[in-house]
Amino acid sequence: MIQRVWSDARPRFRLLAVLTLAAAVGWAWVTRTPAEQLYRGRLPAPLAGFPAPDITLPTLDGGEARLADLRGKGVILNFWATWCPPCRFEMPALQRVYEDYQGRVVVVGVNVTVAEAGVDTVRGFLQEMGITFPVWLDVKGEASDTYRVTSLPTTFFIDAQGTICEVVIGGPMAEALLRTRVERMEAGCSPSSP
Amino acid sequence: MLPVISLGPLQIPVPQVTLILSLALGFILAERWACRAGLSTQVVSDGLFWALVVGVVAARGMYILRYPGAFRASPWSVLSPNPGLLDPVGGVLGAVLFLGGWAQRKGLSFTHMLDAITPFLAVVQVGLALYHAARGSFFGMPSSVPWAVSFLGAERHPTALYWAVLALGILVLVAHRLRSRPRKAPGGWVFWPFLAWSAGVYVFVEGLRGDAQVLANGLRVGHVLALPILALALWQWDRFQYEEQGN
Repeated sequence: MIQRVWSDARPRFRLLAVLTLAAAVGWAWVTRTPAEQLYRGRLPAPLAGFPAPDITLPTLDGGEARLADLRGKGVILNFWATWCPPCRFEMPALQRVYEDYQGRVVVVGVNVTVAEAGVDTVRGFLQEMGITFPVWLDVKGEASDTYRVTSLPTTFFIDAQGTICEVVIGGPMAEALLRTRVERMEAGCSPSSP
Repeated sequence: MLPVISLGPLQIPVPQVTLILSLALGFILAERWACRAGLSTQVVSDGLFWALVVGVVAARGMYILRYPGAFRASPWSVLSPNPGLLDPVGGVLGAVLFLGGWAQRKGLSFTHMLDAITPFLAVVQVGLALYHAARGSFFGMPSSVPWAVSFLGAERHPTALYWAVLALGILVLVAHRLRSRPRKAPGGWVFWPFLAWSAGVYVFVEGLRGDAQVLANGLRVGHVLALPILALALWQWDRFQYEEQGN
């Protein structure tokens, strides 16, 4: 009896399985989307796969720096503050990566100066840590707002074409993580990248 | 999108916490429902615990093999707690191989073991969908459906939420399947249907994603991976249910 019920049910199950599979293949076919169409018209946003929003900030030496001017090289954009312990921990790793990949990748530390006691605190901290990579000052907190930084540190890996490859929220990042992300960044993450 | 909740000086990374909670909840559920899958709580608990440990070690090992230069330059990073230094495929492979060996050592069939850990997998799937929802990844294509959400300058399908709701439905189906499992059910009674449902749901949500990876011909990578899994799961479901059970 049970055997008959099973054998009666099997063709129905098979038919349903074949229909399910056919529907799935059909759905995959109709939802095909060329990469250019998927990425076309994407507005700059602080998310992986999107063009990095442009920012212009004062630098520690009194000048001004613009993110768009770094186009053509990979950029590690690290938002940090002196009072944030994980930021402090990952600084030496960022410095080593900056030294090892100089000319290929730019490390930029964006200090959230609006949350600091003053610029002198930042300067003293960098001297104490032996940091030589460029540090920009987010004096009004506008860059942090643009990049929707809700937690420190937050790091954006941006490829040579200005597309954000990855966002790492929190830290400290291990040095190997930085190095592997640089490798990925150099391969590129824009739709036209290999 | 809710990447961080600030509670005074404490900043809680919601995506990561969601994932960790789902791992813990899945573990507890798999333990509790072990007898429904016909195995002892101890066997499932130990097997799953060690599979997780082996999975993490394998994930890190595979990552080191992929990027040996980075670890040569910074050997201490091998011990880093950064989840970004894990290779998910390597981790899953390691855990599956371990579970196979564990089941063999305990004199169990591998598919019975898979049945017992299916509640864990079902809960983690919900956690993974919520992880993406909190991160703002896995977002949808622009759409005019009434429930579209405004995100990145367009009204979009809330794809991660579709996935979470459907994954929750799969969890309910898994619970029902375990409850209705015959005493002498063949191995795979729960696992193969779960895999088929999950692959089917993934095929659906992948088609609505706005951040999908695509091949040169426009096919989505997620579809290319999920369709063979769906076919395999349906084939296995048919095979065990009507051949082994029927005999």
